[in-house]
Amino acid sequence: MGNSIFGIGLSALAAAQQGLLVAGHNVANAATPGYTRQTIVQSTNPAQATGTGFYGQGVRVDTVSRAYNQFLSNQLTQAKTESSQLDTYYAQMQQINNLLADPNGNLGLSPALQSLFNGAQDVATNPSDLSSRQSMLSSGEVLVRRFQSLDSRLNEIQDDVNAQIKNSVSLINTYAAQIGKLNETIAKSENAARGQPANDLRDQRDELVNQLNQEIRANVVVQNDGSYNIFIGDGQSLVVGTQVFQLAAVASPDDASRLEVAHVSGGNTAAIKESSLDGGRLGGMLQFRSESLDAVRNGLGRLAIGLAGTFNQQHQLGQDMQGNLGGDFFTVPSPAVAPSIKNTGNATIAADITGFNSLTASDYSLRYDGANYTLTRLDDGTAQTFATFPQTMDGVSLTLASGTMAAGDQFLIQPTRNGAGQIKVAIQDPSLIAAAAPIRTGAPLANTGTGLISTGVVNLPAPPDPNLRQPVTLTFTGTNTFDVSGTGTGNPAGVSFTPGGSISYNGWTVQITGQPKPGDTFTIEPNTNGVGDNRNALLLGALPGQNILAGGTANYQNAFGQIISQMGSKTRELEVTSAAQTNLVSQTQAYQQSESGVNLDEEAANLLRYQQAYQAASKVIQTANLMFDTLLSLGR
Amino acid sequence: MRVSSNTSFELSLAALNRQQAAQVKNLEQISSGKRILTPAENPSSYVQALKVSQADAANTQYAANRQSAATSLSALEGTLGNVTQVIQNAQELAVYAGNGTLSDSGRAAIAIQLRGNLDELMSLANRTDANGQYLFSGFQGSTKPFADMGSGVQYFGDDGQRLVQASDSRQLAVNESGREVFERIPAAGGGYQSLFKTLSDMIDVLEAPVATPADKTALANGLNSAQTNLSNSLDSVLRVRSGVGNRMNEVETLNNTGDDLGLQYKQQLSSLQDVDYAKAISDLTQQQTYLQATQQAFLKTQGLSLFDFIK
Repeated sequence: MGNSIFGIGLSALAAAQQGLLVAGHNVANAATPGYTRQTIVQSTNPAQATGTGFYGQGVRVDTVSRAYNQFLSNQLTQAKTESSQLDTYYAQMQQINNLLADPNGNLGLSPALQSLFNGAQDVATNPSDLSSRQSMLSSGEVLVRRFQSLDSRLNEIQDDVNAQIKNSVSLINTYAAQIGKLNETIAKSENAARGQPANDLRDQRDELVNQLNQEIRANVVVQNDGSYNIFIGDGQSLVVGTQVFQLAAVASPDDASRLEVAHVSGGNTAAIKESSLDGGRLGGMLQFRSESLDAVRNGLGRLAIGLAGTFNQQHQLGQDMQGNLGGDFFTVPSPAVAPSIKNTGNATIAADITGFNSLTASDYSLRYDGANYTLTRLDDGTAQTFATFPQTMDGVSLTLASGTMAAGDQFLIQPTRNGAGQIKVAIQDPSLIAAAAPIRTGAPLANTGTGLISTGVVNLPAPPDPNLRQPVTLTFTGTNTFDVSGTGTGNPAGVSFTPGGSISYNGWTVQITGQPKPGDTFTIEPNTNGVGDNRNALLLGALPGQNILAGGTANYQNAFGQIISQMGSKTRELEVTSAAQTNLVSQTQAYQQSESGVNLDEEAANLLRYQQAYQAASKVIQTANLMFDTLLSLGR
Repeated sequence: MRVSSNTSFELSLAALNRQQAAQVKNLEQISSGKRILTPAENPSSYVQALKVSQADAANTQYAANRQSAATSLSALEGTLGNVTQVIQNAQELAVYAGNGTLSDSGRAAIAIQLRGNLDELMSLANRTDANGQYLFSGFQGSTKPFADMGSGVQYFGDDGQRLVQASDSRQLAVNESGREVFERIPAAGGGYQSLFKTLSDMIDVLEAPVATPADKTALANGLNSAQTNLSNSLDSVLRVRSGVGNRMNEVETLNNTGDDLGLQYKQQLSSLQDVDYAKAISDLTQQQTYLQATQQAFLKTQGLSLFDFIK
């Protein structure tokens, strides 16, 4: 009997000690990331059956279990991977938001744009004044530099995205390797411990899964033996048991300046579809790049190209101070065309912008299937199929510049990508600003009627008619008819006349009002020595008020405003959604922690409980000892 | 619900961070004077503010254009005033020369005065502005508009009129072609005759000696048509001058509306983006109270532990 009291006491002592150990361990790891509260699971030892009933044999500790809830834990991981993606995207967007912000209204693109057109109006006011012309050129330079500095900042952001993709990929590889290793260690340890769970190791593995999800959304499939298989993207395996696969950051086959994520398996590197990689920092970076960074670069590029192109068109319709027709004021950036490195043919494609009004901010892909070409607008998937070049889509004309195409060849066409970086002012000489119109009109004093001829305008689009500056005479043969003479007009006779109606030849348009008499003449002649003329400068100065971009729906400022509002709204949206997601994470975490986290007060209570149990168990042993001593003293 | 010690710590910390971030944001607004610092804070207001400030900048440019137009127009006005005087002077001389008591030498003396008038008229017609550009040569600012080619004064300019963008929707002409001012003048005998020819014809008439009755008739006829032509010239110049005066008045009117508009833009801009100091400062005080409360609550809850009682 005494023996079993000792036994009971000892078992209680051991259980209490183990309870203290576990409570101490909990206190020690209260702040350890990923730590799950542990408890001992006690049960009674099998009772001894006797004629007088079953006598308990004390207590035993079956196992140390961790308060782990896979459902809550999964929920938290999912919430965190989402949150990490949104936070990353938001942080990147803030850079763009700050880049576009110009709280004092004097450093951004918008005032520079206004300043160019103010410059054009100053030239209109003093067309022959070289200092006004010089200051318009300088305003042009300032504007161009604003575009370029925005672009170079966006380039830096893209480089940063590349660096972070690399960093993420290397972290993912590290985590995958550690998880694979832990799969092995856990299996071995648990085998050695006859199936007892290796709680701390399992916590470590779960924490690694959690950290992996901070980088990319990873799906965990728990195997029957308890090991974790991990998949990402479209189902690419990262960890299968103890086997670990690697990801790699590789240059995009279409665009070497962008890194893509690829899966390495058995020496093969295969790119993972970008849209399937979501969650985590990597997902956030990729989403930021494809949704917003590209959009803002293309948007600015489209504005730069649209501005340069439309400004040039008007400029070409003018006449400079030296009496020549206007040339280009800006150098219009050219589209970027990149053959895929996988192409087997040697064809090169040339892309030209022919419609500044119809440009979109999208990129395009061109694919040859051996018979037909498919040109796809990448932002909405609209496609055109055709068999021969040239082909025009959205204001971009494509031609086969050289070589031959092989089936499967592919090209990435980015009409606006280089726009903001490559826009330049094409002239340095202020006298080359085409402030004047190339023609002027006149009526001799000999006219007897009341007819008045307008100053005349040069018809859009550029380039102007080659016969624009040929002298032309309109001679009235009756009150309602006139003859036309001059090179390029075809010298028609008896043209019918309506007062105020437009008369167009050789690329100009004039109106005659009033009532000319037979024999009256009107002349249209080259504007020789017209250095005091400002008609084209006035037209240049009036360009900002015209909706000449985006299919005739936006002027320059509106087009820029759209970019700002698009980026601002996206940033705002991300600010709200990422804050909401952070809240969700903290709620989920509170839930998960309420089950799995350590409460120090609780552990303090446990320490007291097991301490008391230990003291009580000691008392049991002391009692047994006293009983034994009593027995021994009987024999004295 | 169980609360893990970590959770309560982290929640308090997050609350502190939030309060501090709100405070910093408020300080930023107060120190910059702007409510909206980046597009994200209010995209539509930001874009609206951008548009208004551009409209304001354009309005300022129109004011500068008008300033320049006013200068050009007043130079033009002054010159046309001088031309008017020359014509009136010639008219007086024409009346005086019609006095039958004048001798040949008396008329020759008048002719000499008229030559002076003609020279003055030439110099007025070839006047240049501050940039050295001729006032009356149309588009050909560097081409001298009038020159005596022996066979009479000829016009080398054109019919061009330079316009200035005086407001969003208004362009004003700031010069007049020499042909319009000096040449397109209805002549006594039909058609048009230039003012120069009127004056030089009159000089010819006065320099011719009067001996016979036929000479007398020629003198009378010559002076008659000179008077008609001078009067037509005066009408013509006054008509042009009144057009210039109207445009000067219009510049004045546009200046007033432009100033009003500028004021409106500034108010609009201010309501779109300026900080309301009273509100911002009361917000700041409120946030400080919240922050203090959160800090104290943090200390209180974190200071409570059962371990404190295990001795």
